[in-house]
Amino acid sequence: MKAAIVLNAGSISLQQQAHEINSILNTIEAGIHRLELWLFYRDKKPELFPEINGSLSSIKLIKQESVYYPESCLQLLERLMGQYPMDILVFAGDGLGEELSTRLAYRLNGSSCLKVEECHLKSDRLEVKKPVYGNNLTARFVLESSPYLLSVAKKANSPVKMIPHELKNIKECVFDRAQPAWVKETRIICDEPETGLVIADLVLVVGQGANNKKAVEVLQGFADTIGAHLGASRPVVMNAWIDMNRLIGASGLIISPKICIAAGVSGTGVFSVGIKNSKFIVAINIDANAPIFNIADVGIVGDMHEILFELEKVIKAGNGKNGFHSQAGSGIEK
Amino acid sequence: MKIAVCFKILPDYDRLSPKEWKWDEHHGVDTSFVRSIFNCFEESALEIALKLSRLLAKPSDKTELTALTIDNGQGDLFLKHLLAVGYDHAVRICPSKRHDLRFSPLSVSRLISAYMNLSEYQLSIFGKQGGEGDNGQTGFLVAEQLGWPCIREVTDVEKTQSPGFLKVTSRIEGAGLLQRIKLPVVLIMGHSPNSSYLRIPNLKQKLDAKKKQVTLLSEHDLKKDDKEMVIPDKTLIDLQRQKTDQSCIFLEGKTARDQARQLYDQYLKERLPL
Repeated sequence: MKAAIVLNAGSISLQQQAHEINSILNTIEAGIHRLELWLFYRDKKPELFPEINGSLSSIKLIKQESVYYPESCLQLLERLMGQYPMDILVFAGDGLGEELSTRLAYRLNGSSCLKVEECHLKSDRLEVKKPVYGNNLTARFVLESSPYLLSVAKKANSPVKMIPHELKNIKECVFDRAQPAWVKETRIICDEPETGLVIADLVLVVGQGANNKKAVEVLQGFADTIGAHLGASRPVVMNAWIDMNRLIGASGLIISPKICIAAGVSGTGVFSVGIKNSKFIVAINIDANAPIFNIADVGIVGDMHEILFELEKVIKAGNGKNGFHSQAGSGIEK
Repeated sequence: MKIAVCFKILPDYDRLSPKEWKWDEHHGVDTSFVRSIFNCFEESALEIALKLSRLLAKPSDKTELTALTIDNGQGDLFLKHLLAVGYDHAVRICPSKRHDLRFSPLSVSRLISAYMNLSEYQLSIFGKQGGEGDNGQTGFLVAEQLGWPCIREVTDVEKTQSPGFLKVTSRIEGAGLLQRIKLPVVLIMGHSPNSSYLRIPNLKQKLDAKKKQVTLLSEHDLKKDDKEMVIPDKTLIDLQRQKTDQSCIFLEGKTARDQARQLYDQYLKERLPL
């Protein structure tokens, strides 16, 4: 089979996306006799490329005017598939990858599947595994018609290296394309700076048990005191108690710290997928039956504010020996 | 402006304990004993459409709202709720019981597109992910079938001074994207902090809604030709529940202070970064 990996050189997650794609390529590598990298770029032609598992037969560089018009990417990919037909296209697990794999599969009369965790080639059929029922179950499917267009599941942070490639295998593809007529005006609103949550060693994740915005601000102080990064579950973000870029879970960040303290988080399937790769999980919840305890190493049934207030005192008492970041109290009140 | 918002009610998975996740030989998962809820992204979609209907750019720019679901009756209470809070039409497409639509966004999108083609809709709003299959593809596929453009990860929508145009805010990697766009369009809602929850009807609204009817349509009503409406593009082989070998150790101290001390001394002290 022939396969191509489709990535965007301008993505801030390019190396992480390549890692996620590598993990599913491992299982189908044997059945692929030609593997290509199709890389979109905007201004500067890339000179380094993400390290891909398997031998790349060719790299195709595709220049595009704008990263936020999926329609123009779709047109380019349709034409590329016309010129260089592939049996499998693998896309990143971000929103763009999901949109492109779904819409392109429809246009090419193929099959697509998103959030693919594993895939296997069996008698020229592609089997995929993906989460279903709110990340509570996983399902295995056979995709019915080729070409197969997959978008991979997000994984814990482990970015690949960027490496050079032989120029003779790199081909530049330039196509004419139309800008979408339905968009009349566009403005980009830049986000707050990166939170560093995905690479943090110590993370405090708070849930609805935090109760209100003021309490979350106090918990930020506690996190600073112990040198932790603060993340949150969906209800906290949706109540605007904290910025959206701190959302942990299937539709937010996937973290893998050495210690994750999940306080006041019930532990839904879509949340748990965001912290389950942590090396050590402490769960604090008032409800002894909360599902968060199913993935925790250590659990405390109790009021998160009381426990964290006491924990802060204990940590500060041991501070002389361990040297934590701040001597000042966070202001957590019982 | 005619708006259709598509949703599917779901069992509240958080109410199922680990041992209650069971399925039969046809991979049917029994969730009948837990309450049903709106999917969070579709709840945002339903609320944002209501907000749009209240913002009239001009008196002539009247908005007509339709709530659309596909099921065999489980969603009727929810459709009545939507009629009570201001939806003009509640429509339920009843699929044939021989079809399993859980993992077939292509089939679902064909049914929705066929319905949308019955009337002159200009806007269709979806949640980014819902349903048992967590497919996340239905909105994209409807856009393809209708030949409409599509915006994903929408966080907010506003009317503009000109009818036929909308201001749409969405998320792209590392930024927000504000676009003024011409209708028709398919919008796929992401996290929308300004429209997280659907409004609650008052008693009078509830009583009025009781008198209104849910429109029922079969696959046959939507068929234009002899082609099958339901065409699965993948076949389910099996379901699995991931086993967690982790067994949580509960700290049993009598007070919060005891528990915090135990947590620090036994587990955190050595692990915390210096």
